[in-house]
Amino acid sequence: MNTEIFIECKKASKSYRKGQNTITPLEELDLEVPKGEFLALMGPSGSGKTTLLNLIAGIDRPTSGTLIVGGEDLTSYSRSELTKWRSLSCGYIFQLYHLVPILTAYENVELPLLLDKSLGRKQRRERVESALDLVGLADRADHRPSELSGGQEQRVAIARAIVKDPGLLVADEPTGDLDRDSGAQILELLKALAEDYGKTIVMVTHDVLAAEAARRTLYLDKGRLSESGARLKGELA
Amino acid sequence: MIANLWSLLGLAFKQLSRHRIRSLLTVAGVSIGMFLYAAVETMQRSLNLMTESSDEDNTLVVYRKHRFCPMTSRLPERYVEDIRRIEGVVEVLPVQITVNNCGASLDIITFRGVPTDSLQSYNPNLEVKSGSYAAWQTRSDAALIGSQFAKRRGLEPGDQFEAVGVRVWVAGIIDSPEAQDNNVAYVGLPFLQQASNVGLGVVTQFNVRVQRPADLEPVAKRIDALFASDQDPTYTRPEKAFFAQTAKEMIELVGFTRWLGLGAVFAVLGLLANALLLAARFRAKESAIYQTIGFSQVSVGMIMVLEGALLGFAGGVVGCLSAALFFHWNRFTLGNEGLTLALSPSFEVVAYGLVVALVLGLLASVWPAWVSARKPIVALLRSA
Amino acid sequence: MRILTMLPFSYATRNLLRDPARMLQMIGGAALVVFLIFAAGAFNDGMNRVLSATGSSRNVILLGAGSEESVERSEISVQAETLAAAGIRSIEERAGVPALSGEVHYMGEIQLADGSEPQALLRGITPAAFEVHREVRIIAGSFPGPGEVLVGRLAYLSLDTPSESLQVGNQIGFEEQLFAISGIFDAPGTVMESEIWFGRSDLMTLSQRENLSCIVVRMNTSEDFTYADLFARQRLDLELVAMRESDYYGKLAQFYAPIRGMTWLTAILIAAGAAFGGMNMLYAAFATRIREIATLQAVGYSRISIFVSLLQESLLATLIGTLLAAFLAVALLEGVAVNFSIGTFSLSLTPKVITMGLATGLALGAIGAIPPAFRCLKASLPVALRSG
Repeated sequence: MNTEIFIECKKASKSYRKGQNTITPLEELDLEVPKGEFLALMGPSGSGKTTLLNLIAGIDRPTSGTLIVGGEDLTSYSRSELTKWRSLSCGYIFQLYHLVPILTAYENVELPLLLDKSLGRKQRRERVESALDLVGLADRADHRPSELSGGQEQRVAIARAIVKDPGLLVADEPTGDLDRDSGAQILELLKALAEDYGKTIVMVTHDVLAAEAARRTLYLDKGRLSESGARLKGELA
Repeated sequence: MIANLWSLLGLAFKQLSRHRIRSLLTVAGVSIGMFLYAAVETMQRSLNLMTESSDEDNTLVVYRKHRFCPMTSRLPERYVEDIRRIEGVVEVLPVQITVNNCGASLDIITFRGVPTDSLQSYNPNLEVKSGSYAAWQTRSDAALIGSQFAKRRGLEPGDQFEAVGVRVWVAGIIDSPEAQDNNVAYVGLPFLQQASNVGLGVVTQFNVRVQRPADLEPVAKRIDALFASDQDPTYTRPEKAFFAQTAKEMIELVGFTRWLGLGAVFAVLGLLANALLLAARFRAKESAIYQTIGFSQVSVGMIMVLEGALLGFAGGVVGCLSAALFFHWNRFTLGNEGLTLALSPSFEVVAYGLVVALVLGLLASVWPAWVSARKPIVALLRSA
Repeated sequence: MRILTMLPFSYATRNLLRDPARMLQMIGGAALVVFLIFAAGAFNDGMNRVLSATGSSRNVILLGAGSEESVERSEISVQAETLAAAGIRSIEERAGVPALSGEVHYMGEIQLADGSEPQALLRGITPAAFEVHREVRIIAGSFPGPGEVLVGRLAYLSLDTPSESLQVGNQIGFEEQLFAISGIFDAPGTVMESEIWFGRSDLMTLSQRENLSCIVVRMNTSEDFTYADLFARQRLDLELVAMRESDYYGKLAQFYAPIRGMTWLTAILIAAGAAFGGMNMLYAAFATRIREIATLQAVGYSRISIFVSLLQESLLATLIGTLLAAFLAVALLEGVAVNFSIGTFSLSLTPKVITMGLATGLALGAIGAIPPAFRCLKASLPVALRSG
């Protein structure tokens, strides 16, 4: 496995205000993720997993500390620079797929490519078809999300996440809304993306079985990370 | 990143076309508003053409002083010789006018009695589209019908029709660059003087053609001075000023409709803004998705702005074109005190209306675009 | 038997007060739209009423043949007046004198003291006019003698001059002659109030006419119109046409039908925009309460009772707005005189207009609430409980 560090988090903290109170889901967190690793993040509700995921994905910014992803210091980026970085370097997979309901599967996958003015229609077509092919949904390109099953929707979402060939994929409970079989298919796909295509994947999950598909699992509690297996068992009890 | 404008336009169009009912309802509302607006503008424009003086004006109207209804303006026909002798006057046409209604009305029938040998020399641009000018000159009860009037009443050469106690035979249909001509029926002067009981030797007004526009004022003054102490003193004004001062009822009416036009514009703005705002609310999550993928806030806002522009433009096309067709097929003519105003559609009104609709669409979308693009992604995703 | 338990009304009122900005917006929006409806309704109603009130169904106008559309165009010989008095049966009489008024109607220019020369409708009359136009009363001064005129109470509006310039004793000019104002008359709700009345012979002399415009005859009953009609048809030599006065003014009203239609269309469009606006606000408001509403259902309140409560909330706001609009309308619109070329009429909040405004307020409240409420309640309970 590649020992090049892809994600480097140093003393990253995040706090925000909710009404009168200040909430600090992450406090001086350190994290290193090598390139091509499939990492699972687990922890109880409110532990800050999704917050950490959002930081890594460039959706949110740490209140303090540094965060370097793929060699780029995200903490120094403005909102528009982050947007640009996201479009090129990160694919996001949500629990509830978040496909645009009025667009077909093809059009949903094509969305990120519309941002690249250098791509012509033919080039976009090639990439979209290749992405849909990879997730096994080439025959459903003209279907709208309402015409697809949950598992199929998630696969379209994955196709959209990878169509620009980003180095990083973040997934927030990707199997949370799926039945066991569909979930297993998704996890296999993610595994293949990491092992065969060298993508670095960070996945947040509640599901122990889902975490087993990952190479490494980290546990997040009260804003702090650990690799403790005992904690894991405690979670099951 | 600001995505390709074409791509954004494509996304905006998809949003509209795939929410069919909502889009159609909005376009329907906008069309009705723009129809109203275009109708009002058509009326206003038609009126402006008749009342706003231009550098090419060269016609005076000599009327009985203190009168404005053709029924009551009576001038001796012999004045024509005195007027002709004034320096700067090119041609004089004595006219007897008989109308069915002095007040403002949509169904005006106007007869103009003129000397049959003078009409063409006074107005050389008069074109006889069908029938015969010669027949008009020879037959005493013959009438030359203006093209608009003929279309409204379905008249053709050879037809007979009666109105206002006058029975005429249609000798021909005419077309003229002077708007008034197209809405009236020209008959022989003595014939009308007798048929309308006004008596030979009396006319309603004189139309005077001057050499140059600069001659209008001095000639008018001289005419009025000439007859000031007569039993029938005159009041002479340029034709457009005459229209503006005489057709008061009509002008007041058209003026009132301006408020309605303004109301329609506000209504369209409100409809569009609210429809877009509704859409923006339902799409908070979608906006977040776009931003997560990498579309900038500006891009996300632009989709909404383009939707507004498309809705406005579509409504504008339907509304303005409908208004133009409406006036084209119906040929409304307003009349007042013997003067007629043909409401005709024009390319300018349609083009201007389209621009207005587009601008309204853009304006209406500003706030919804802001609403749809402004929330931070995390908050938006949480609201899902 | 299952009794529907309704949510208390205070639930609706307190929810409304939860967001004062939204509540004020809804009240304000409703007030504006309903006020516009009041204005449009009063305007249309006023125009209709003045034209229908001006023409009495018992009065018959005898006009020159071919002039049914415009009395100013009409010419009848003076002799026709006595002939009609003798030849028409069932004319109303007072002290043996038939109610029959030969008149001259003339649109002319009046010269005012301030130098302006506005157009005005002049009527040349004899004392018989008061037998025929029963609504007319002299409220100041006296009947005009030679060289004098009677001025309608609202004539100053159509002449666009302050009412002080048309008081008893002032002078106006006509055909370069001065006339003193001998009195002021009113004729509530009719177009006659914006006219200037001359002695008939004065008007005929100065306008150089030898003929009358019309003869107005007051019949005993409105069915007696047939006698007047018969007279006109029999006496071909007089070239007369008989018309009910109400029909004559009814025709005038027709011309304004397109304008009235356009006014309504505009008002409705604006109302539609406002309804959309209300819907927007309520979508936003209700959307944040999906979980709360689901909880109420879980507790035991039926969907109908919740729907009714949401509707109450919306209606409360729009009806407060309606009330506000009504106050504004009474203060700003009631009694306001509008000058239109056909004459002057005053705006009045008749029961019909008030009903229209009320209905609009109700419709706004209902239309604004129903789709958002539906959306709130249609989600299945488990999903709704999880959301927000």
